[in-house]
Amino acid sequence: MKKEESLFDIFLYETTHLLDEMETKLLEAESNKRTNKEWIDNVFRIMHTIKGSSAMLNFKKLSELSHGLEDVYSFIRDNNIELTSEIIDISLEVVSFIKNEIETLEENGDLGKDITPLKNRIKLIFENLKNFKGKKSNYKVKIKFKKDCMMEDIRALDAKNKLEKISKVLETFPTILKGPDSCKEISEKGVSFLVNSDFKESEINNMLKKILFVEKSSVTPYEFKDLKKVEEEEEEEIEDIKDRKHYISVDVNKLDNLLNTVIELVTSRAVLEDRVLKEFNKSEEIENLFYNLNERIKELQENVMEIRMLPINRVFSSMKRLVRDMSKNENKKIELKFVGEETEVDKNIIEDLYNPIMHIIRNAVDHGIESRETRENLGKSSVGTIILKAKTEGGNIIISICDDGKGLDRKAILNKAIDKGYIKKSNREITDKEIYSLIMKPGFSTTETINEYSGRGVGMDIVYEDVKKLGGVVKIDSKENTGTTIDLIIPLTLSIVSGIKIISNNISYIVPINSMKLIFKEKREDIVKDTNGNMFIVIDNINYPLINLNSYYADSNYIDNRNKIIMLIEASEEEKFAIAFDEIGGEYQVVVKTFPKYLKKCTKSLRGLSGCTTMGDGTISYIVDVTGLALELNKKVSE
Amino acid sequence: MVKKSYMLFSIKDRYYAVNVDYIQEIINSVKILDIPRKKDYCEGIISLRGEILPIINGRKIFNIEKPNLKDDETVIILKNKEDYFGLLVEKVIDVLKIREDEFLEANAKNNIQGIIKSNEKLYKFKNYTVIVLDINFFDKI
Repeated sequence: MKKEESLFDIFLYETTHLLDEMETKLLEAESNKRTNKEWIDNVFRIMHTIKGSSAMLNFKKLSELSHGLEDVYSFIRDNNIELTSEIIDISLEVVSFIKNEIETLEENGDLGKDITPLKNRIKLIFENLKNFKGKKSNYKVKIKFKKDCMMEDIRALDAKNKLEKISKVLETFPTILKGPDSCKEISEKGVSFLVNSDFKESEINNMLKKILFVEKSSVTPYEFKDLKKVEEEEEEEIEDIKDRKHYISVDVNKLDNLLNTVIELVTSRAVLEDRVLKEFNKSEEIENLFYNLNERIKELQENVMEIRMLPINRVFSSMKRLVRDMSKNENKKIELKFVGEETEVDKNIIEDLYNPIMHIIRNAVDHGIESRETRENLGKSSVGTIILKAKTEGGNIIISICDDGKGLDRKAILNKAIDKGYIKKSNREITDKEIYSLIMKPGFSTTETINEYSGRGVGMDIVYEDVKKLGGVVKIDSKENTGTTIDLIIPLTLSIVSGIKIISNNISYIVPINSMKLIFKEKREDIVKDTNGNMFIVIDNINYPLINLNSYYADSNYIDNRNKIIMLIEASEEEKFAIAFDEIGGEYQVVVKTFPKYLKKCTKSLRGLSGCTTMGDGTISYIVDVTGLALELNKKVSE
Repeated sequence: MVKKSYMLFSIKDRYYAVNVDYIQEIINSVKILDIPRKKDYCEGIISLRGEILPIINGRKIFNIEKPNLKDDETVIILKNKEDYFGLLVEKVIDVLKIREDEFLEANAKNNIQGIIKSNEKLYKFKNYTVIVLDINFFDKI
């Protein structure tokens, strides 16, 4: 039985979306310092809609609040008033207020909190607006100076200066006032200005009359629309309609069901192919049929995955508000930049990315970026920068959060780590990356003291856990006084992988195909061992770490002398390594399953594996966790 | 008193029983696959209609010596709370109907010392000692 969506559910859904839209619009206006009629219309419409629907459901407080803002915006719209930061601030406050309260809103209830203070402030702003001198209008001001008054250009400039005191001069005719040519033109045709003012026509004209040598002056209201602009606007509108895409909103559960069906289809196809090829003679016809079926299923799967993909911008843009509010509070100036915000990520992942990114941004604003004075003393720009980057690389999405703040305090972290016994005091060099990764240890970060010295680390253990749940890893890099970069590396999709089947010690594994670089038979002379027993292989004169899967995935002291196949793997641009195994199978599309709980009880460790899958013949393969292996190798080498 | 049904199975000369409520099915001669870094008591995994289930080796958890030949090839699929897993045994014998008051208290003096967990119950059956396993027994592995 499907549950009918109640009016209340629809209201919640709609209102939340509208508020998000409004917030984006407000922040946009704040940073661009420019609004147009369309913008005001949009914001007005949003408030109007919320007012209407909340009144319909009898949420009086909500309706009153939105009504207040609606009035403000309608007044702004009708009177061509410029938006002030005061109005943006109060609007943002209202948006946050409703957003917070709406979560606790219940059917037949109303907002719990008192709205009177907010309401009064809106009222005050509205009153101020109304008292603001009349309405602003555009005027065309024409002045003709007396004949032979000389220096017409200077007089025109003087008139412009005087006009600027009471209005905004938008344009002058001629465009350049100074110079002999203009002098001649002004004496013949006079000079005109397009101004925007809240004074009345007569008031402006009276002022003009006080200017010396003015023979004739006129002030006429002006509709600010020249032909060219009108045409452009119309064209834009037409394009808009052409480009407009059609959207429907779909229940996420339906998408999940669809994906599950596709996943089952992938498995069924594999089983079917296996049986058919076993029972019938291989014929070209059957192979072609399977090839076709394969391609269609692949397409279907890609389409379904694509539907579930959302641009990461959703998460990114919600950070704008956070940075704005925090930097205002702390009196810092911070610019938040986006790179690759159009990168698409599975819906399930996107939701879980919000918290880790928020924690990191908070740290960056709070502790990373210095105060304005400190920055200036250091010779840095007084405006701090945080860059949020997203890109896909080798089946992973990489999200980087870079700030140009003071960086992590290596020494303080190291001392703390020795104090706490996380690392032993030793002579060996500890790499920066190792030290920085210490702040992700639970308990390390939550202490107040480390916060003071290192100025970083609140909740980094939470970030680490959240990202781990998504099958990803966190990398931290930092340089004193230059800034900190935190990378979150997360697999793009968790459900279907295409990979190469390899066999090691009678167990089959799947290596994701996009990380595979080279396959060849081993030559013993290319393999070297260092004093710690770590193996390396030389490929084209480059040394790569080598893992023998037979011993890696078996008990510790596994000895084998079989001839191996070597595969070079690229986990990321910088991280390449090789694996050795016994046999190679074909290419497969597999459905990744998380390990059953009981499996974890049956194996000592699932290190280096990211999941398992059922193959067409009913056997099971394990998915090689390429990123995890690379990480483990890095650690080993630095030890 | 109500009689309950228990599945009787054996490994070598030892007899065990489990309440049938926890038994999903019994499968014979299934291909058990190796898993990476296998623990001692685990035999591997099987894929049953697309589901991956771990197989626990009965001999290992009951401390019974290894068979000379490959005697054990029956797998009892058990359900413990939300988890399914297989128990590899030598053979499944019968279903017993037992009244709860027919259980004897577990006695440390019996030959089964060292195997009994606190929530197992003993039952005498034609001179054999049958250890009735509580499903929670598998939690403690």
